[in-house]
Amino acid sequence: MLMNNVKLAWHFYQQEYRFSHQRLLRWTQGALMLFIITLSQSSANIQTYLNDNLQGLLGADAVLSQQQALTAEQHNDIANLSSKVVTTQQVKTTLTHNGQWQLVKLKAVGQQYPLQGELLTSASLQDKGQVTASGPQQGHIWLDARLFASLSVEMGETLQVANQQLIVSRILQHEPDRLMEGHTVDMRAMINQLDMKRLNFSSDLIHFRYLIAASSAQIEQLTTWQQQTLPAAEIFHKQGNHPLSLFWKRTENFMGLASIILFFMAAIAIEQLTQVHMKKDQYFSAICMSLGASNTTGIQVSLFKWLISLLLLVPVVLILSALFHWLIIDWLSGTFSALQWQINYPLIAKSLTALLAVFAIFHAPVWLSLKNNSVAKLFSGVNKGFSHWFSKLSSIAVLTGVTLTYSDNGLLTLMMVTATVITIALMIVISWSSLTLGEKLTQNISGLVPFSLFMMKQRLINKSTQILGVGLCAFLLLFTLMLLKDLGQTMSSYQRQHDGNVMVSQATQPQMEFIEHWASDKDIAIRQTKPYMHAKLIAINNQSLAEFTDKPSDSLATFSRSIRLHWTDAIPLNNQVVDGTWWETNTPKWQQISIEQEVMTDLGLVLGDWLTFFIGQQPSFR
Amino acid sequence: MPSYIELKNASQSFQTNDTQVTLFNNLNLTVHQGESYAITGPSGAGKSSLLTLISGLEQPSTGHGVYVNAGQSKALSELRSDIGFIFQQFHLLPELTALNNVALPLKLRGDKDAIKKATAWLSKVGLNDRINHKPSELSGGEQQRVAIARALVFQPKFIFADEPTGNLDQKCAIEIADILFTCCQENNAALVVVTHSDALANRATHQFSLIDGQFNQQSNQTLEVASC
Repeated sequence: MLMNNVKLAWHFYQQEYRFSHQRLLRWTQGALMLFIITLSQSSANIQTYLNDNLQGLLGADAVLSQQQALTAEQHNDIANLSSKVVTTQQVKTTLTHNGQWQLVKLKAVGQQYPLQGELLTSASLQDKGQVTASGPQQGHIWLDARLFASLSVEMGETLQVANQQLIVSRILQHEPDRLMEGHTVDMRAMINQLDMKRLNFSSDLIHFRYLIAASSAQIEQLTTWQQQTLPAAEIFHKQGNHPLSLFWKRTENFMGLASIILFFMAAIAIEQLTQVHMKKDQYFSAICMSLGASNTTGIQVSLFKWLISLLLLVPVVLILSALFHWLIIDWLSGTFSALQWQINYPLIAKSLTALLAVFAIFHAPVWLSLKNNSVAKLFSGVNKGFSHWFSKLSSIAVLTGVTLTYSDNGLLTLMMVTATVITIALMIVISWSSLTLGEKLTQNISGLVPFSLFMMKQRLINKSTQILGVGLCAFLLLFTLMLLKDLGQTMSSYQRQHDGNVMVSQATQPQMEFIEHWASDKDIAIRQTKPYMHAKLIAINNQSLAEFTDKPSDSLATFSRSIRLHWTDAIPLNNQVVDGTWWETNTPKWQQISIEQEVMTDLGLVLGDWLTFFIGQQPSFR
Repeated sequence: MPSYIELKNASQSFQTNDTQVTLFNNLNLTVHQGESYAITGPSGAGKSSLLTLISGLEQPSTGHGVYVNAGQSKALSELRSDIGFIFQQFHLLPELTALNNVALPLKLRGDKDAIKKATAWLSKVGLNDRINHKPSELSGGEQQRVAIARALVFQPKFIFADEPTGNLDQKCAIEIADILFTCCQENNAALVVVTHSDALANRATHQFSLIDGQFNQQSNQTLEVASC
């Protein structure tokens, strides 16, 4: 009997295939499935990429950083929270070779390093980076490319650090935990942890960093533990302010909202179509039952028909979603290099199951009405009972579920939902009151106008769902367009601030010429070029630094060494003047300098102070 | 052993806004297989509603009905597989051709010869040249014939017809009535007809007039013309 019902369902599906309500339902369901599957596949692809990228950039889920080593007890506490902890030590020191010297950040790592991401090294400056399983062996030192070049060192030569001989064995190209150390252009070198002990640096010079693999819950626990036990230590974690994460988070917020809006529109359409379907299926089942079929046959045929309609949509949706997914990834690969198109099959199955469940809930009133109503009632199509309310409640339940699932930002979603509800209320009030007022005002003018208004009011009651549906769809469409406009503006402003994905930290004049030539050949815009000279601050208001202030500060420590002094005519796009004025062209007082606000405060400087730099000769800047 | 349907103290009423409308009260009726019945009465008397109650397509507001088949008493909902119903509004499926509409009850029963039998029945009601036409392409009389063929194709024990000749001219009405009564006679089926037509009502063995919610029974058994 079941096979017979499947055959009947297939037969009636074919008969109804070209009917407008079936076609509309197919398009609505297909569009929604296509959107959801493409979105979930693209999101998963980007999430995986970002996760790998974050691992490569951050090197750990969390990093605890402080000047001292952890005590055994503190170490135990962390080990209880996470089984994977890797320690690195850093010290700032000067390396010399054949009369060349450079201030470097020397990092000591053990065999467990790196914890996450890839450590890239090469055998020569020209080589591409190769993934290296762990840090340097004892007695070896790896230098970054700039340091390697600036010390004019050759591979296999030895460097002397604190009377210890270290062999230069690799060029350090990428350390996965670099970003979490903060943005810096310091030259870098890496040695083995055991060598660090032998170098015998004073303990107050060594900075300890603990790379920790941790889940979100563990990160929370770790943060609480750090605040209670080590308030002076710093903790960085993945949920922090990584620009790519933040940007993607914003995009996800938007996508979530767009999904909710789309679902709202689809829900209105499906709910409307369910009414048509309910009448159609009720009528069909009533005929079948009047000809000897049981209720079960009616329900089964309706169920199979619904299932066949969806199952036949799936291959089309999958092919189209794969295509759109590929197009999106291809487009995004311009921004996210090495982003690859990958199909996530379990996710497809999950999304399809969820969608089928949602569509089933929307369609459930049809089956309920077949189960609960008598044949005569099914013929009359009266539908004010349980299935009517179930239909409404199930729609609300589905929409609530979808809102909760897709909403990444509660406030934003609440604002959107509130705006929708207010719009519905306004539509009802304005339509009703304007028609009522119009009817009353025109009563004495002509019989036709008030009659038309009266009829419109009657239609408003009868067709309220349709009118609200169309109105709401128009509102949601406008809302989406406004949201897209806002997002576009945010993205372009974000791009203005963070444009560019390659930074060359140092280039000589011939190298710069080559870069400019190459960029012009490849049609690549160079966002900013910052020429610089090494300059050393020697006096403030004609007082030596020691005389000017005796308060120790980070800025003072930085200024006690040579700094990179940049110059430019115009304010860089990603900078802004917070106080004072930018120098004018051809001003006789050209010796002006702008300093970061934080440094001004740190050193206690005010506008008009004189700074004296040593740059070959001794010009002054104010 | 012939089957029969029994309605006991059946009442039917419904609610419109704040008013309760009662169609009939405490009606008793027995429909025997192999006999014909005509229900007449003014418009709005509840004849069609009574027909849906007897056929088990609707539940009475009060009272109950039984279907006695081979000596076993069953609920009226069990009767459905043994009835053929001809609706006043035909209730043909608009998306199906005349042939598929007639074949529907057979297909529902898994009959492999559904199309063959349906073709034969359409021929019997004079529609062999309209087999592949959809209801919208047929006249009212033709649609009525399709509805009759659909109700009779699976040879039910009980046939219910609501105004089967209401939309037809006199010639067609006679033809349709002939088909109904002949089929009833050939298959030893019961026929219950709701009609305003005295000519049709007079062909039935039993005639009931539903007025003010009560039956006024007349028997046509003495008239030889119409028993099946």
